[in-house]
Amino acid sequence: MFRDVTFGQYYPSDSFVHKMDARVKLLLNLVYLVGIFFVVSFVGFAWITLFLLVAILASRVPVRNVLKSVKGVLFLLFFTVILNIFFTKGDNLLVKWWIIEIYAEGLIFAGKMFLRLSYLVIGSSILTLTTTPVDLTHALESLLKPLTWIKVPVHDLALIMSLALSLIPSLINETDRIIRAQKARGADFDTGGLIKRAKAFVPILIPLLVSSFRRAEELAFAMNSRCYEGATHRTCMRVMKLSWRDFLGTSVVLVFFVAVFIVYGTQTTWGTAEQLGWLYF
Amino acid sequence: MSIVAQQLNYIYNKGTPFEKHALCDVNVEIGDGEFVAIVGHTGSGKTTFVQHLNALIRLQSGQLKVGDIDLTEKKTDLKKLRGMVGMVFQYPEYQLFADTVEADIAFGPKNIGIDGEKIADIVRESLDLVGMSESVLKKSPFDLSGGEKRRVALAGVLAMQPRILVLDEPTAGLDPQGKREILSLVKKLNRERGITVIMVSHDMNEVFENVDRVIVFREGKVVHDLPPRDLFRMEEDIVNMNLEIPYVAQFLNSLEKHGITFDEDIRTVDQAFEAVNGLKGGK
Amino acid sequence: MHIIKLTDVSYSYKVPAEDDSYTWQVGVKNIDLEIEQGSFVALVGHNGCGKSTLAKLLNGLFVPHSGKVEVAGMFTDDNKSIFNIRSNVGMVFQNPDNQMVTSIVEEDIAFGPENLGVPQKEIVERVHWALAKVGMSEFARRTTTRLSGGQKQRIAIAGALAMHPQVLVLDESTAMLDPQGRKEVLEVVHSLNKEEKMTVILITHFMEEVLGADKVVVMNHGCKVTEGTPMEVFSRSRLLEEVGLKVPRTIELARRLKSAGWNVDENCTDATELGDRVCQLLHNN
Repeated sequence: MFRDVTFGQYYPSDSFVHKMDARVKLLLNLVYLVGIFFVVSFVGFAWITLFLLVAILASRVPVRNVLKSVKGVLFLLFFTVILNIFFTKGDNLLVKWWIIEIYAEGLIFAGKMFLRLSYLVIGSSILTLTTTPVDLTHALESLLKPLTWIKVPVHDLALIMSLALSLIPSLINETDRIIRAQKARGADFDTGGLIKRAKAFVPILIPLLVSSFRRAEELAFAMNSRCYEGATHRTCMRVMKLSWRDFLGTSVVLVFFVAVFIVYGTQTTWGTAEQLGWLYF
Repeated sequence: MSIVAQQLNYIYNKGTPFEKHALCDVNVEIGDGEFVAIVGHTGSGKTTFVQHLNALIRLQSGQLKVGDIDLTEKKTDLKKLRGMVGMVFQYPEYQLFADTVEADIAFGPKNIGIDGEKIADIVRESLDLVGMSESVLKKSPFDLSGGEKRRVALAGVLAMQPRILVLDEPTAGLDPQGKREILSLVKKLNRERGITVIMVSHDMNEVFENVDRVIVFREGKVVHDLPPRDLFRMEEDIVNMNLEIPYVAQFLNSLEKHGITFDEDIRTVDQAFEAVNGLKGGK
Repeated sequence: MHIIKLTDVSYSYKVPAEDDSYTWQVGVKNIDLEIEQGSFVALVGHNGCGKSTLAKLLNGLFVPHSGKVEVAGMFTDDNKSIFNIRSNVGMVFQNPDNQMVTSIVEEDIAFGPENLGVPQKEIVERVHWALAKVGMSEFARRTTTRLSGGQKQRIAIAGALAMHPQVLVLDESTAMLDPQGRKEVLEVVHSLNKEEKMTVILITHFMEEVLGADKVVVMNHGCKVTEGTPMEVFSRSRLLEEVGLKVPRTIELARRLKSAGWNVDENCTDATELGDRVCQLLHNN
């Protein structure tokens, strides 16, 4: 059984994107997520596709791995598409059967919704495929540091995240072990009604809870032994430095999305939504 | 209750970059009432093998028969199988969950459908088997000491009245006294109740002193299947496999090199001392 | 010269009783102990004998209810010295999975010095030095999850070393490891003791592990029962039996032969050697 949560989806490589600073990648991902909402036409999506292809190429992650991330939200995508096809009303009726009416507008709207959602996921997965969760944690801590001024315990939150990342794998192993042990004692998790099944989880949850408390206690001893006393006087081994890659990467992304904004963003503000009609969305 | 495994193969994560051939053409036959040790380096496939025995891991290829149950068939009676093959995991005390010791021990027998009226008796009997008094029945298992918890967990498996007992490092983490108690209990179950015992262990001294037969796993294959005395005679081989040679075996091997052999089966320090001391002329 | 000195140290645990009150359960009782700088001390006893409580008293995780624990001239009940004491007494615990703070090896090792406020450049040096000392330099950028138990414990040792301690305490750190992992950890601590003159306190119930120690301390029911060199302690086999411990098999055999009149070395730890000697005696007569 292989479930290495520490790595998350991380795909090890030495590519341009991998070597970029995690903070920059995180911010650029935000730009992308916002930017994609300005794209309203299929031509726009074609440009985004080109953009994603360039990003994937620069990350040297196989396209197959990137597409795999969409698999996780496939159900959601399917559901959205179906809903939009059946419930979007418009002027161009294509099919009418019993109470079902399908309009061309519905099809186009569903297609765009599909593209938008899957591109959201693909874009974010380029971030997680090229950045380890540990690096992401560091990036978040660094970016949120200003919030310490308004008493947000940024360092503690980051530490909790990093502790969770290091404990989750052993917790998963532990769960797996307990499930096996209880199965060996004849426990049945697969049959029976809802209540019976819910009850069947008690013999897993209780040992898991007990062992989590034990872990927490031991971890506290271990951290205290290594002189932990919160964020005060703390230094950090990891230095995050910006390189030419970060400037180049940022320029490319910004230029691209400024262009997107100029083309589509202006149309919205000028109120061309009505003129575009169903083409808008 | 015998076990027959033929050409067992098992591959983890088939078809992914993390593919691992955990079992490779494993052929093992274990007869009724045997006391067998399974040894091997971490990751040698021994755990994968024993988990096949009660279908915690489903057969991928090969044949496996446990008693009259054929695991090769699509539909196996899991309840019957798991009642027949008791499996005690490493650190079994971590599987305790119920409010009382009584309820925890009763969990297994209830699951496999043993008659409700009989269960109370079985629980008491199992507790007695592991050498604990009935006074703990109403206690919370979490209030017991580490060694007691392990014995309660063992009683929970024994309460299913298995004919085959699989133990994965039953003495791990125990102090010498606790180790001796658990081992003598396992031995008693084997000798007096005729339960077939299969013990996975890293402690070669423990193996040497207790079992009748040792099966050595290496990289998914069975590389040796011998009585302990014969196995540990092959010192070089054992060291190459990163296993230890039991002290008493080392001593006997050294004597053998000088031509001194004994007729009796010597396993413990006591026996070695008696045998050597019986020789004339050394003093 | 001693680096650690315990004078009449007692510590008890609060245990909740049935009503809202509580009772006290003895952890350790009236312990006097001196540990020489640079020595290798083994602390043995059955599970629940108080040896882990004693370990936690050594770096101020627990403060004695009576008596004093002195570490390098400081006292653990003095709040101002506590971080100084903890950086001087590195601790490694039993479960290799429950002491990692982050999932990248070098970042985990850096945790101690980061807490101490060591400058960034020096942390990097310390981390590299510590990794080299435990023989795991090539693992610096790896994740901790897929290491073996023995490797994880060596990382934990490196994490303690990075604080530049004078004393290293291993609180049953070998108990959950396979023989291979145990060997790795023991080799590392023995070489630290020899090469870095590190004081090592090894808590264990594997009696074979105490063989290389300068001093063995035996505990039972929270009290110190006896102390001495390994061979001195092994000669008190009746006492060891009483506290649930066992003399290593080879030594037991050698001692029994010796007392039955065989002229063998009663401190023999090598079974092959013992066999050779027995044969030699048989041939001579």
